[in-house]
Amino acid sequence: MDYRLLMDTSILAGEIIMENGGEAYRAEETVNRMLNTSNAKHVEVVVMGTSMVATVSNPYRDAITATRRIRRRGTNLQRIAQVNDISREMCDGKLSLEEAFHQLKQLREKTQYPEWIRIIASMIGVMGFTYTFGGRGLDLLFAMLCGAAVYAVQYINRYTGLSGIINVAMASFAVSVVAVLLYHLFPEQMNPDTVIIGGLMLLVPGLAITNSARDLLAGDYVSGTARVMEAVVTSLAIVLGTGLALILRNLF
Amino acid sequence: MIMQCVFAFLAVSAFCVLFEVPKKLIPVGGLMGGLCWGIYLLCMKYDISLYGANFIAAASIALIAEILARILKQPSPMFFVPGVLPIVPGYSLYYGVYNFAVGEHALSREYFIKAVMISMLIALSIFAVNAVFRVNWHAKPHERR
Repeated sequence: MDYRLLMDTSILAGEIIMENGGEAYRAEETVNRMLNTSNAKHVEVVVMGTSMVATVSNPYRDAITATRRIRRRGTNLQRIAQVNDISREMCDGKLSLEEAFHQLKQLREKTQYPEWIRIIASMIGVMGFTYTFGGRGLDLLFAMLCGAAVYAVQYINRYTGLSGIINVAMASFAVSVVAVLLYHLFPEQMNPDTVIIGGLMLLVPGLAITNSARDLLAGDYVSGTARVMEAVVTSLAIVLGTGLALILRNLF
Repeated sequence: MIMQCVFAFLAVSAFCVLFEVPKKLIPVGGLMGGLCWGIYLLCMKYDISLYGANFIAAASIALIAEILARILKQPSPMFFVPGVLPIVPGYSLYYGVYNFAVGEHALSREYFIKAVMISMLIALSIFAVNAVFRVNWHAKPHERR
């Protein structure tokens, strides 16, 4: 068995899970399961929120270790499901190692939906939440504009390479500014609060909250607290962006 | 109220696209979101406290998500993350900021605490439900952990 390729494949699987919003214990379990197909004497995988280390060793053989730092952080549930499937199939022997590596490589580049569908989705998403939080009439239309604004900021920041936190702060600032400006134009027909809340739902750290709970429950305190901090810092970024816009509104 | 659930369904389905949920499962995710909001509204209607309503909604979503994950053979976040979205505390967070900006510091603090409490309740509901599902019922006693 090609140990080196097995190591590359398994750590890639773990990396994809961590990059796309999977829980640390899921990544750990997956990498462990894949490495154990080698029947090595000693397999150890450690995932710590923002980094991961895996080692395979056998007596009378050099140990192989791979380390990865997780830099990108997004939410892509489909990739997590796919990695799960691929690793299962590989462990059951239905998929060769080379094939699994190839599929994982491809998976990492693939997104399911084209850009324009995502823009429309963020507009509809914000509109729907604006309605559930009490927005009516024109609010819904303006909410769609806010959704587009969030998407525009996130799109621009893909090229500027700013960190996730600043991205969130800028996006929440954009939502609030757009809503406040529209409120100045149409003061009677609009409730800016509901529109802003709808827009913020795009940025609120729901995934970090759920993942931190699941990691803590699995006994992974390092990853769990890392996720808790992610949720806290993201919320602070939202507070910063929105607060700045609202304070500016009160000044003028 | 039904209109609210419909819009929650719509919103969560749209968010599913942003979360890259596979096409086939988008309606399921949307339904989870609509259901979550419906349970929350029902609880509020029958005078259950804000925290109780959030907990019940999150716990039922966690339960359904775990069951669906086993039936449809998908990882459970696929259903749980979209499902719980409507009650993630965007509302309290915003009013915390808003009241801070207009100088109502006491009220602002109250909303921020609410936001933290609701986040913790969501986490707690996952604890409660997952604890049941993580028990390895087939293991012999000494193998259980």
